[in-house]
Amino acid sequence: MNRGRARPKMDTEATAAEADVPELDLVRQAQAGDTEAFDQLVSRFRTRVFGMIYNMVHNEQDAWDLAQDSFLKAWKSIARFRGQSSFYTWMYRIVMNVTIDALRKKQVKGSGAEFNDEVQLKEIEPASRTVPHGDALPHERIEQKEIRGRIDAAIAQLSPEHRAVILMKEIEDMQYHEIAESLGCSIGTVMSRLFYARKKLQNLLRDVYENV
Amino acid sequence: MGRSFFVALAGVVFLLATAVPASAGKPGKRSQPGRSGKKVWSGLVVATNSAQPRPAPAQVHPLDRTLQRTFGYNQFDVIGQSSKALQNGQSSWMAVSKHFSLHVDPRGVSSDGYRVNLQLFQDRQLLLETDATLSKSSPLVIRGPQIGAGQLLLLLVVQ
Amino acid sequence: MKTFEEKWTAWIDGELSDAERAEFEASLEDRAAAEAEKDQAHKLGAFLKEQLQPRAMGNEEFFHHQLRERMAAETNEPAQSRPSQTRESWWTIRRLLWTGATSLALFAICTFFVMREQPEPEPSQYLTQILNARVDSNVSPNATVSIFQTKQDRVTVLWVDGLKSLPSDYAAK
Repeated sequence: MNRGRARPKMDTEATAAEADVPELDLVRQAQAGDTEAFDQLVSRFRTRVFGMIYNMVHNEQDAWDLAQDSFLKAWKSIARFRGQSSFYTWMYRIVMNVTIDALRKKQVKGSGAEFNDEVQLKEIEPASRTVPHGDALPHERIEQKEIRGRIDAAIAQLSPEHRAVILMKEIEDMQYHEIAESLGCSIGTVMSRLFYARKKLQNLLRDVYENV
Repeated sequence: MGRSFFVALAGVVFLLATAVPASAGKPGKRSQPGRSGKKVWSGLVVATNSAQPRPAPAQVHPLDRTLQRTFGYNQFDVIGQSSKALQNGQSSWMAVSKHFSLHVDPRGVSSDGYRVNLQLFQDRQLLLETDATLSKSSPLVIRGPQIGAGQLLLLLVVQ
Repeated sequence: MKTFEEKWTAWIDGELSDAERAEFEASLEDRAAAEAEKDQAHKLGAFLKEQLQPRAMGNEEFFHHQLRERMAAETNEPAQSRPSQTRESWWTIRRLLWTGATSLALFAICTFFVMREQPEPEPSQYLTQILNARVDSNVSPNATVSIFQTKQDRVTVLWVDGLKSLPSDYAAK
């Protein structure tokens, strides 16, 4: 696939004129079969969708394909969007379903990393004092590439569902109810998963974020 | 889908209509071993002489005159009996009494009857063993040991 | 909120009401350690947010083009793959009904002829044959075996002599 030169811009690609059109209007037009309207919705959300999926799967090719699958699925089922939540929350649900399914299939085939959400009981003692890794020196600088690698490796140890909640909370700043809606689970489940995901990542990345 | 489904259904019904009755044809003479399916009645009979003999049991009645003439007794009491279908490869215990038991091992079907291996046991001891071809309407009678004043007879009839 | 984990998460994220926060903080055994833990959680969150910036997609126009192609394919496919349902078929409803009725009638007729009473088969021309017979010589060393047939009655007799005589209680059923 010829990707061409990557653009440095991180924000959504919508032009100023396109940004003026309310999201709900675009959705209604897309529901009526207007592909141009749907195209504008894709423009608004593709970067966030791609970024979110990439953080889940750590592979550009896979993230590209899954983003395509997610938007295509959204197009096919857009008639079912009733406006009870924001379009992005609704879209996110599709993105998460597609991505988590792909990760599960990868695990079944044996090519994915092993998820291990177990956290030793002694490690998750609620009020225990955290101690930096003994071997790392406070003044030691860690290469950026290594940092990203460590983060990716740590996140890869989480199950797809735990990955999703930590990324949606910490990166996307989504509310509990939005995360719950996107994942099709209860708010309590979201909070519980956040608890364990944070604990696990703290154990795995403490020496990294303490020394960056 | 609708029409092709009904066409397929009509075809299946037609096949069943012709195939099922055709397969339930008259049994002919078979020359190869197979499942016999024929029932064999076997009886352990104690033959005695009595001043006022009781009538022979129903299964023995057709043979009682022959038995009287052959063995010299006038009263026949069934102490064990069995009526089972012979199945190739499936040996089984047939007529059984307190002290005697008959073991039958079907060995196949031929044009002249049903090949069987018969073993008569007295308690745990094998008294006698025979290979026979049982034919319909041709009972087999085996004269066994003397019991008190009477005689043990083993009867086999293909029904 | 019921579990400790849920309360802890809400406390970390500042989602507890004033009353709930006061109650939760009062329940903590080591307040200082818990605050340190909270601080660590915030550091982790900030660290992840800083490091995991949305990755540039690259070649967004191609992404749109590819997606539009797939959307168009989805729209056209159902129309093209739908087979013509107006083809003429030899199997009309009438013919189907007649075929079904005929098959059932045929089935009923065949079943009648098969299931009706059949005449008694003729008796076999063969007599029962004894192929071989043996007596356990350890049990009955003096036993002898002979075979004869009564042709009139069609009875085959295996006459065994010399078997050990048994008391009358051996006649028990």
